Parts: sequence; structure tokens; C-alpha cells
Amino acid sequence: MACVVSVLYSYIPTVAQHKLDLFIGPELLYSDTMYDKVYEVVVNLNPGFKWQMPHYWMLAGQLTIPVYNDYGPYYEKVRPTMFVLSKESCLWHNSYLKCSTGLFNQERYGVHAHWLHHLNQRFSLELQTNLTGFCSFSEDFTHSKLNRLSYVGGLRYYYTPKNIQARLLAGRFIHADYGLRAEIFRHTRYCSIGAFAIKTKQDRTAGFTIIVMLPPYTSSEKHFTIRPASNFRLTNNMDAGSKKASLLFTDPEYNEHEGNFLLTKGGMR
Amino acid sequence: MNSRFIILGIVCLLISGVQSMYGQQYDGTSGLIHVPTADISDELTVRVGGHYLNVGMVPSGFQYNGKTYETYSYYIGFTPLSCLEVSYTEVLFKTKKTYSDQVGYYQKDRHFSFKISPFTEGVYMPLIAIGVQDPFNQEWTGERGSQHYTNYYLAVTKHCDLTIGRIGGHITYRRYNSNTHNDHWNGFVGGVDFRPSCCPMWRLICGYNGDDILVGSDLLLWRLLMLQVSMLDGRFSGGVGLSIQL
Repeated sequence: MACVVSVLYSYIPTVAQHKLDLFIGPELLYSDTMYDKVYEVVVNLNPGFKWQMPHYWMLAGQLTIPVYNDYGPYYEKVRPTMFVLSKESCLWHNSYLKCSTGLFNQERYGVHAHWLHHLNQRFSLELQTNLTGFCSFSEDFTHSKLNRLSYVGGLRYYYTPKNIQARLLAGRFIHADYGLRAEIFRHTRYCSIGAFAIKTKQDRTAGFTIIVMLPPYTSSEKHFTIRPASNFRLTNNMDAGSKKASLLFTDPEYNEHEGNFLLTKGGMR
Repeated sequence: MNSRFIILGIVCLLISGVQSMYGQQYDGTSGLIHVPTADISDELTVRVGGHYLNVGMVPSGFQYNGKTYETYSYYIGFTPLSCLEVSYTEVLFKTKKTYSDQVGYYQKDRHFSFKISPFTEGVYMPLIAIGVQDPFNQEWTGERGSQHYTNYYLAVTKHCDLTIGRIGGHITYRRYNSNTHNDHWNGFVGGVDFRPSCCPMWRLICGYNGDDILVGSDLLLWRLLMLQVSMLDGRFSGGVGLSIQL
């Protein structure tokens, strides 16, 4: 059987390029909005899958299974939180485009395009635009029309000797708020720690993000893998429950340590 | 209860196999327990932990029924660059529960701390650092709020290697925001610390925080577990944390 499969893979290269990963990881949300509690906490388990296809097509999905919930009935149900089909392509030298459609994070569905262009070893230009609507399975299935256009663009800077990444984005974010978002990260081999500051028309806020990569740290060459989630990502925002200047994620395991694109293999993140 | 903590502290101090120190451990930065110094932790060190704070180390704003109370803090600190130390601390507030007579730690104060030390220590050149604790209040985010720890400081530190160990002298000028009502901690503060050669990871500390003399000790077990005990005005404070080198 193994012999037949290996022969099949060698003769049909597109089959050999398929890769299916099943993974599960924890999610921790917390906020401080109640007078009599230090924190309200939500702990979820997030099982998901990623089906990587030839030519950088990818189908990814994620379920949210509540384990502990202080937030209320809205967060109690087992629900799908992501289901995204995406395609990456290299437009020309050092210029990458990722187009995605489906159900994204933050209960948005629609279409999304992300363009990244490395100007040189340090600077990159970035543009994200999407047309989305609301879509949630938290109570009954509810959705809105696909009528919100968001567009953000900005500059990235990567200082290789210290693995420091800075990013400045401006535009109309996914909750229709106009603003500025500045981020700075220090990346290490298995961890990234960063800070962000946000200024919108009405408010400003700041916080920090910690990303810890989970073992096994290397991607398996096997065509089918069951593994823990690649990372644990935690964001602490000064403003509880803030959704200001939010960005769409098209990958259930998105993190700043690995970057947005499979094509770049994390180069300049 | 206090005697138990003291015994625990002494036992901890007798255990060897330790490395560097984290002085102002209650807020995740380096210093002399309650006195900031110009020392900075090694680059890419993350510190997480919790601390018990006696009344002498608690700002005047932490009052219940007109009295300052002992409380607890927990923190995460990071040294992203060899010259920059950042930490985020939360300190628990004692309040009365709504519609109940139950009193407990139901709220918290949050603050950031930053310290920059642009120069390295030389043969004659001391370490110099400037720092700030709790620089942002909630008004920064457009909400009403208060700052209980806000202070700025300039610190100078010089270490001296002797055959019996390493001695460090620290002097800091610290100025609290007048709104915090912590004027008793203003002005020149400082102290000395000593690391014996036989166990360089163990540190003895004696300092003056502007109001009281404090003595204490800290150590890092197995390059991971941070322990600190101190006495201030006859009262115990102490904490446990993790120090992770990324």
C-alpha cells in the first residue's frame, strides 16, 4: 500500500503537494468590566484544520468549544468561528498577494485581499482591503448584508540584527473606524513579545501581545498531521473588550511570529 | 503567619544554585525591593510572578476605612533590549462587594513601568538610568481614572568586585506625582546590595526608600524561580516568580 502511495505521489506531483493538518489549541480571553470581580474569564478550546493544496491554495476552519465562561450566554455555544478559502500568489519580485473568502475572525464574512511588497531588506509596504458583513453562530445563525468596505495600508520595518519588527497602519478598519495602528515586536526563536498603540477618531488605547510557539516547532513533512496548535497568542488591551482598529485574520493560527504569508516562509514576517 | 514567611525566606536563602537578581520584584523590574536602581536585567528576559506587599510598600491611595492595607501584586516584565526594561503590574484593591458586606480584593490597579539605561558600566563610569512608573492614567484612553504609583526617577549604580563578593552602591532621585500623595517617598533614596563570591546568585539588600529602612534578600533558583523576602518597618513582604530567558 505504502509503495502504491509513494508511486502515486511521485507520478502525480499535485497530490504530493496536498497537506492536511488537524490541530487544537487553547484560547484565553479576559476582561475587567464588573465591579465585584478582578477578571471575567473565558477559556475555549479551538480545534481546527488546514488543508494546504497545490499552488498555495488553502482551506482552513476552526471551531470554538467553550470550557469556562464568565462572559455570558453569547459565548456558551460550540460554534464555527472560521472557515476560509485562500490563495497566495507572488505577483512579481518580492510582491505577494493573498486573497481570501469565507468566515473570518471577529464574526465577519466576505472577501479579503492582502498585498505585501518588500521594498528592500528592511522596509515593506502593506495593503489590506475587505468587503465584509456580520455573521455569527453564537446564538442562532445571524448575518448581515455584505456591505462594509474596509481598507488599511501602511509600512513595515524589520531590523534583522535584533529581530525587531515595527508596523504602522492607517485607514478604515473592520469595524468601520478610521484610525492609526502602530505595533512593535521583538521576535525570538520561540516567542514574540510586542506592544501596540491605537488612535481612532474617538478614542485611543494601547496594550501588548505575547505569542508563544508551541512544540513541535517544526512543520511535519507528512501529508496528514494531528498536532497541537502552532502557537498561543494573548493580547492585553488597556481598554477592556476593545475592538478598535482591528484587523482580519484569514488563518486560524495567525500570529505575528510566523507572519501572514506561507509564500514568504516568515521572511521579514 | 509572619514567622512562617520569615522561616520560608531563610530556607530559600540557604539553597544555592542561583543566578542574577530582580530587585523591585513586586513590579517586575530590577532594583532594591522598593527602591529603583540603574540595574537592568539581561536582554530577552521575561519575568512573571506575584508578590505580597506589606503596608509600608503600598501607596497612600490604597485605603479602606481610612487605613492603608496589605495587598498583592502580580506582574509581567520584559527586557526587549539590553538598555530597556518594561513591566506591567496589577495591584489588588480591597473593596466592599456590591449589595453585600463582604470585603475582599475585588478590584485592581494597573500600571506600566519603563526604565532606560543607555550606558554600560565601566571601570569608573557608573550605570545611569532614567525610569518611570505608572506614566499613563485611564484618561489617556479617554476614561476617568487615577494613578497611584506615578513617579519618575534618575538612578546611578556602581558595582565593586571584592574577593568576598560583589558590592553595589545605588543612589536614586525619585519624584512622585503630587496626586498620588506619596510625598514621603520623594527625594534621594538608595542602598547597597552584596553578592557573596561563594554564592553569587544570592543577594543581600539594605536600602532606604525615603521613609523607612528596608532589609531583604533575593535569589534565583535553577535559573528559573525567583524568590524575594524583605522586612520594612518590622513587616514582611515577599514574592515568587519565574525568570525565563528567551
